[in-house]
Amino acid sequence: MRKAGLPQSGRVLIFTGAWLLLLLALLASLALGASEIPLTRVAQLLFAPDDSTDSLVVHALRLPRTLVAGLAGAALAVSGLLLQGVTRNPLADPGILGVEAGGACAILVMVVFFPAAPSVLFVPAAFLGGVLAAAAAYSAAHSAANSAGLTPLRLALAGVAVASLLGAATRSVQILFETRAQGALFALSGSVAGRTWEQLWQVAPWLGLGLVLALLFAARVNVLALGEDIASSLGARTARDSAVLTALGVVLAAGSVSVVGPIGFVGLLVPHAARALVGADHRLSLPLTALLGAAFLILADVAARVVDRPAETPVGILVAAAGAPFFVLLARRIGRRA
Amino acid sequence: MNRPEDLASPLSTHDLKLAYGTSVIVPHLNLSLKAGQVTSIIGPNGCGKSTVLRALARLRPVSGGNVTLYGQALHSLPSKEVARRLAMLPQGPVAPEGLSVEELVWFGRHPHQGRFPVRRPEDREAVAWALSQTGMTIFGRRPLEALSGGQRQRAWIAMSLAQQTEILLLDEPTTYLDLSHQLEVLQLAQRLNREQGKTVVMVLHDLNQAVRYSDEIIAMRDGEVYAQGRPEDVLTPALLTDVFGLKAHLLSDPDTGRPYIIPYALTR
Repeated sequence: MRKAGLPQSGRVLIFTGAWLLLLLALLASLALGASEIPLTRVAQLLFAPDDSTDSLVVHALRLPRTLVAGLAGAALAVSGLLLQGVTRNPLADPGILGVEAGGACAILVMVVFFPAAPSVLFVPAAFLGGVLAAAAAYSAAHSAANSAGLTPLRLALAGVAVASLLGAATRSVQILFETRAQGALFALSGSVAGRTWEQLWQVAPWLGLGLVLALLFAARVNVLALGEDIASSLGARTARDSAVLTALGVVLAAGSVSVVGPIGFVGLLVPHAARALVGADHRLSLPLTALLGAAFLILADVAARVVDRPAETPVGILVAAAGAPFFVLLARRIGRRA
Repeated sequence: MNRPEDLASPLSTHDLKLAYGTSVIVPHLNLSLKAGQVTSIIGPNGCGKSTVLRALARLRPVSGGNVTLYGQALHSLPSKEVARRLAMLPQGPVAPEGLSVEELVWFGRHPHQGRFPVRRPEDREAVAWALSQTGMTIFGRRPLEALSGGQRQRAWIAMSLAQQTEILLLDEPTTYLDLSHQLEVLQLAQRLNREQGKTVVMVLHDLNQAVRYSDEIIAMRDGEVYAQGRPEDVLTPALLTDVFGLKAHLLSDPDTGRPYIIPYALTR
């Protein structure tokens, strides 16, 4: 006899494990890379920086990129969880509203057409690109909606249309301005290499606030996940709540895309892993998704640094390589259940 | 707008117009339900019966007229207040994967809880009561997908019961259930009415079940009420011909003395 839910002790164990995994990922990310720094030295340098190269590597290079990867991983994964819950679509992820395509297109436009722009503008531009793409998808779905309203299917179709349009635009620019687009190739594959403290501070407030709000709204996601009819019957204001939660998902996704570029699969697979561990209650699966998302992207970035050392590999490629088999597993599992 | 009889009626409609885009399903409906009774809405496919039930539960927008809950305009009441007075179970609800029966039933307390829910003793009592009324107490920890169709339907009804409303609306609650599970659901609805005094409104397809388990029948055709009244008064050969296009023998149910319908031919 299968049972749903876990006893209290099981949950404590899972959350302890997730925190330990995140800690492990952080330490590995500070210690590993083009040069290896022993863990004891990392710990010592963290609290007492000195003039050594190791200290510079830890504080100026690895710490900001690790924090960027952790924050972006958590935000992408939580964004996917929110969108999956609100749209009741297990295959929803931050890409479904065109956020990633919009962010990528904006990054390329900045690199190709405004190469002289101050670097501080790149993150807001990509953020804007992601948000505008989602807004375009939303309004396209809205204008086509009849009395049946803005259904998740309609939204997903509009998102796919916007994403492919933006993908075509991105590729056109790449072909027409081949030499100038070279500089954006790495960013377009999704990467946290060379992220600075400045870039971290540009997105940290947005992502931090978004994650806190998502935690506060977790109970509402639970009600919406029962479907619009049931949620309305229970007295939820479904149109308002799903708009707010979708917007939150978009901001989280656009915020991460703006600093790490388009990274797929994290927003799709981490929520599934979290739900498989703690069940359908978003008050549990949401914090777990954040922890696992952060740990996953940090570890993927560590792998991206050591797989072809000393050269860097875009982390987005590694995530896709690890994510694709998982995706097939997921599809098989859903297929069996249906 | 407020007629005196509306104040006593749990749900009434006033020149209610329901439409999908430009196609009008219900042109102008004036309906008044009686408190403390089991009412069944019957009618052929496409007659608008589910659409009307959804409008009564404010699950769909109205194109004209309005619905009142004991004389108050339904659409102007706060949605949580409505959900404390009226529970609606739509057709074929699907729960997220992994949700347990008990977790599902707890959602019934949503309209009674504030922004940041705490589990008060009265909430626990309501959930335990809803589980026991539906015989689902022993399945509390099971995930919904591990249950049979009949058990799953009872779990959803338990969620609606946990709302502790005086009115319960059920949209085709017996669909996809085998005969014994159908009776189980209908008997539960009848018991809740007799023992708790709940007003129950159902959309049913099986005419004999509607006759047997209802105090009042509303027969609909083309978005309008063709007849409303006691089952024995409403279910006549003329109604079966006009509403369903059927010729039928009407026998007398040996238990209730109400009509038992055996259709034998189509009239169209």
